[in-house]
Amino acid sequence: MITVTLADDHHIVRHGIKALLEAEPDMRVVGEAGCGMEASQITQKMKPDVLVLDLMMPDINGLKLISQIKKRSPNTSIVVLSMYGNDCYVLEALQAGAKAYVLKDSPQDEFVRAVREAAAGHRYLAPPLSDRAIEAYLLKTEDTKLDPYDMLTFREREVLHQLIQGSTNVEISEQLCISRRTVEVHRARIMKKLGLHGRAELIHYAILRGILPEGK
Amino acid sequence: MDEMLSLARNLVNVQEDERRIIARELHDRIGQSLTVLKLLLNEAMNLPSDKAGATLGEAQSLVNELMSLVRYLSLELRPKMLDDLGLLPALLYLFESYTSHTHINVRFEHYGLHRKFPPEIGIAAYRIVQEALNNVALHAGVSEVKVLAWSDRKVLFIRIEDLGKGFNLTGANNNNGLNNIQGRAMLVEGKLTVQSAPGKGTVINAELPVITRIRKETAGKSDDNRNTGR
Ligand SMILES: Nc1ncnc2c1ncn2[C@@H]1O[C@H](COP(=O)(O)OP(=O)(O)O)[C@@H](O)[C@H]1O
Ligand SMILES: [Mg+2]
Repeated sequence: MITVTLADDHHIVRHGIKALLEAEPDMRVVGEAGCGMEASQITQKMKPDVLVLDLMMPDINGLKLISQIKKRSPNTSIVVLSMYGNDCYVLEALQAGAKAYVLKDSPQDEFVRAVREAAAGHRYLAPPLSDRAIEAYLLKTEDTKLDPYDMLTFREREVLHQLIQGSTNVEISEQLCISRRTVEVHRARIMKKLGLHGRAELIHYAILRGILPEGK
Repeated sequence: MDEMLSLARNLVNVQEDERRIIARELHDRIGQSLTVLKLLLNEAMNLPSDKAGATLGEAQSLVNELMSLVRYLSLELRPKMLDDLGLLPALLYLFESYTSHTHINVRFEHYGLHRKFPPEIGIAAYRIVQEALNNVALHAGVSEVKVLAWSDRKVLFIRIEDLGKGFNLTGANNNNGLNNIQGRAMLVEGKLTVQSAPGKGTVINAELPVITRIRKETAGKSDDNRNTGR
């Protein structure tokens, strides 16, 4: 027998799910909750095989709720039921400890299947969600390589352009109305960010990048 | 002081503009659709049950439309994802929906965005990118835009670049979009510049301090705080 608790702030939704699950000979709903607090309490008390959880509860952030419940009832598998199928929510829910993720407009048999898979300890994403999409999303969140030139601040870029034109620190400090010391700091940072040493390398870099001043 | 006052006035104007748009959408589109929905349901109720199918089908597709409109409006008002998940997922989602609506490709490069930003910085960054992208769709005439975002310990940097039509910066600008994001950057003690010229594309650059500085008398230290709007 698979025991299940239901958490959704809409009574009608709970009612529908309950009817659906109890039509299965081997499933039984052992508790219901209308808010996050209740969901946490009832699940901790009943220690069901599966908790079906709406991610958007009125009182507690659903993602926090998942990790909280996983701590208090580690053997309960969580099936998320959500209006939102954005990959980032799915990913975050899985990372927080959910086992399965189903959209509210998924077909009913998908939903029953998700509960069954989760109860067996398997991860399950109901279509149109997929591991592929989640992995693709994960890839998008990874840091990309940025061009160091793009990482210069406004001020650093101004100083850089002056340096390329051959201005001295004193000239730059007068041009930009900043202290000589500040110019030196900017200069050191620019060189470090761009990985350059000395004026020759700087000019070479400027030529390669095509940032030599116009009209010179 | 004058600057602060005009900034404040601007923000209020912008807020009213935004509300007007939302109100109109609520009234015209949602109100309209709900009225039709009501009529359809009335009709279905008066039909024999074997004939009601088509009408109910129509009603259902209207409900789907309404749902997507409500989602869109609530995203406009406040991107929920920003609060739930943070800046990076919110931006990724914005790009996805932007591209699907405009068919403009977003090339996104980023570094160091996995951290948590203070809420006011997150929303400022989000609105800046959103407005810049909307401008690209409305005015630039391009099929691709580049967005860069990176952050070190102290500052969040954002740049939105397009190689499109560009415009004359000195032309009178009573429009609220760019003024609004200037104001947003200023309110969090950041700075924002717009570079553009006809035929030369447009670049928007913003630097937002991540650690909110304790306001101190920065006499003679205005160097890094200046708003270098060109
Ligand atoms: N990326 C861009 N490419 C070309 N023109 C732009 C771009 N962004 C802004 N503009 C020009 O600057 C004007 C002001 O922009 P904005 O303040 O956002 O107002 P709005 O978008 O409501 O017209 C626009 O009307 C447009 O002419
Ligand atoms: Mg605009």
